[in-house]
Amino acid sequence: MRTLLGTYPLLNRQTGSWDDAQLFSPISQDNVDDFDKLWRPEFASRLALARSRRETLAEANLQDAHWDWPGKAKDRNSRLDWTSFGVECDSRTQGLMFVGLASFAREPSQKGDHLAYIDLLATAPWNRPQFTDRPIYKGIGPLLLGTAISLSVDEGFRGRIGLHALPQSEAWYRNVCGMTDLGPDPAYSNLHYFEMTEAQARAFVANQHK
Amino acid sequence: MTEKRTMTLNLSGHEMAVLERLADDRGMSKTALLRQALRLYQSVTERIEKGEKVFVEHPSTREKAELVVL
Repeated sequence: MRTLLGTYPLLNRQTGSWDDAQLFSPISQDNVDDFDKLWRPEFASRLALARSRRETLAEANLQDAHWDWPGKAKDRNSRLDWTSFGVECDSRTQGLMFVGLASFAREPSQKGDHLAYIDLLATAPWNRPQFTDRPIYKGIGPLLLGTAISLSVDEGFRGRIGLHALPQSEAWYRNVCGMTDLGPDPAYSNLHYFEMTEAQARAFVANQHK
Repeated sequence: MTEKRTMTLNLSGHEMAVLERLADDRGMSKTALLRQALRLYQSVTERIEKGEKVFVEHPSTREKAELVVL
């Protein structure tokens, strides 16, 4: 059953106002419909523009455009080892995330401990710098990452999280979120694998409240 | 994050000792450990029901043993 977890302010870059966003779990059919009807067409048109401009997917902030949110939601919503989240604001889905709860840490100080693994995390296309010249909402990534940390704490994992980052997002996880970059993972298309320790999670949360 | 329900669980002394040791080793509460065990059990049984095989692999010999859930 879909649960409202809280209301959080997002900065609307175009108006300068702080708008209330609702955080729900799990991803609902409305979120899936928004992805199909609102996100996909934006991805398709931006992809065509990127091709005409000879931009890479990273330059257009499009590396996740192929992610199958509807399929994953269908497969995972009944599973206890997966949980999902949707952020809604302005009557549409602004961000989505899947988190796995059956993974183990690799970073030496916490190797073998349980962690929350962020499998997919995305903000709506109209909120992305590089995707558009006038992105709308800012703060969805930190809100979802903070949500994964809260989930990790709730599950007794002490804030530990892990994820494989797309190249377009590596710098954000490393420099802004303070996660440890464990390098390319040959078992996962050589995407860099990142982990957040309990101490790094505390620092991230403290920074969010400054 | 979601609504929780309470149940009473009857365990033997040995089972409780194992639960306490595992929870202590992992730095988790007994409830958190049992919830994690349930997740893993569901994940494994659903894979096997779909016809997939679940293996454990020895770290040095690479010898694999198939996990069978009864």
